[in-house]
Amino acid sequence: METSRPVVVKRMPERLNQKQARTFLREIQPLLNTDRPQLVFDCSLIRQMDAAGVDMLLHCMAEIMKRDGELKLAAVSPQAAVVLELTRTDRLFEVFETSGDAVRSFYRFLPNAMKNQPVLVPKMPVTLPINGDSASPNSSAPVAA
Amino acid sequence: MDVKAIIVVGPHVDASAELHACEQITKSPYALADVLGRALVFRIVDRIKQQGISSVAVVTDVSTEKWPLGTAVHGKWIHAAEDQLWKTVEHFFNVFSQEGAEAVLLIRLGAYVELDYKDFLGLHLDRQARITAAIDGTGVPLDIYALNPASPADATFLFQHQLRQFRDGCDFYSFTGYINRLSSPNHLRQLAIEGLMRRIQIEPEGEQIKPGVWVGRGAQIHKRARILSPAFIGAGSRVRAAAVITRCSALEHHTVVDCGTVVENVSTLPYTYLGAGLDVTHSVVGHNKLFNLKRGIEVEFSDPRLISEVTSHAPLRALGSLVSLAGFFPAQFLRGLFASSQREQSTSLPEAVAAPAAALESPAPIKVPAPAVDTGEFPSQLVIARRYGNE
Repeated sequence: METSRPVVVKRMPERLNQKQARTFLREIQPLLNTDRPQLVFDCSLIRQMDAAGVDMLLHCMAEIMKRDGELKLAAVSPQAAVVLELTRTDRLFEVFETSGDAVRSFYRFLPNAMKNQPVLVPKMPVTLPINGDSASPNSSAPVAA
Repeated sequence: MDVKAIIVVGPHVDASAELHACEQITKSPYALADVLGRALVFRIVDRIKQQGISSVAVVTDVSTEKWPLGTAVHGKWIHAAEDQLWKTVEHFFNVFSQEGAEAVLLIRLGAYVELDYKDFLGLHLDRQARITAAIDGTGVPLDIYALNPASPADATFLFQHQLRQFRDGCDFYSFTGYINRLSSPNHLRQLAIEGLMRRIQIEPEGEQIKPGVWVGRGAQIHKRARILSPAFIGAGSRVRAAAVITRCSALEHHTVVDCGTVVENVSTLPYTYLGAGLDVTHSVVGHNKLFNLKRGIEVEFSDPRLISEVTSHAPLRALGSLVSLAGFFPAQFLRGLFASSQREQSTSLPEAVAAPAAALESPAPIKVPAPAVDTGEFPSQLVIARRYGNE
């Protein structure tokens, strides 16, 4: 029985045009190729996003779904929210106010059997470097589980 | 009465950069923006001419490229540098005085005000006031003044202080009718809604093809597009297949709404392109920008697939259409030749077709319930349906 898988929080760049989207996709490709990946994209920095950015998000979503994983969006900036609404993709993603909320949501609906194993799943994620100053803008932060 | 008018389309009189910017959309004053098919300044010029004002001069610091089409027939338009704006206004005031005007009406646009100019000027002339200023119900000036040519010193002082100080006081005219301050995209949107709902004097420019739907000259609406009233489609606009225009949306001239896009509670500026399959809601869109009214933010687009601008040159637009048409057929031909078929056929289909259906081999037994014992009551399985009227 699977008990714990890491949740990776990835901060998205300020601009998501064709070039940036390709770079970002290249960065996260190893994460997408894992078994049942659990990803959170922190969208707080996004100021400009075009169709290539939306395509990239949908591609990530499709890849993750293929591997039975989950992709959630967090701290979506108003600019990104407008583009997601405009392209009707906002309804495809689970969106959370903060990355912490998104990470916590992965542990919210556990089977009863797993609830009796407190050692394996912490109630709160241990650290979230994305909220600290030390994290680089594009850093990915696996959260212990 | 011989009254002449000067309309100033220029910076906010308080001169702060913030206030100046708030009266502009995409770096052009709201007064020059089209609302339901015609620029606001033209509507004001027409209205004051209808109320007996013989001559109108429009003084603006906005560059001529941003002037709306039709300035030749809507008063005399003069471009002035920003630092020379009020000097130019003073010059025209002197010219009108020398021509024998009884009063000079000065309007800075500004707010959109549905003032009864005849009443306003009548009051000014009856009182023989030097300056009469229109104010709203709370005493805030509306930047509309009636000036007496017989006292040029008062007028000059007013111009020198950019309409914010009077040399020797003035009379006030309180107005409690419709005022739209036009200081944000929300105000522009509100003005279009009020016009479509016929609550104000702004009338949509176009033919009413069905109740509440106005369409300008040369607009093309695909037969599979849906227009839900009230709505306005400006001249030369295109609404393509499966697009939906709803909730008081107003598309100004030469707007293109591509296939499948939903436009809800939106005003577009002229020459706006909305890409295919979008959900454009609660916004003012134009010049590659989208002002989201709910979130109160402005988003700029660099991707022509989402929101972009249609060229304002007609030959270029025609050329673009020709190029896309010329490219369509070869693209379809190549797609037909090289694209792989999406249809998937089951390998065991012939066997499946040849074999008799399982249901035919052994039909499921139909359970017939045992006849109910006549107890004088209805059996529990009985359902009675009765038709009423046209159901």
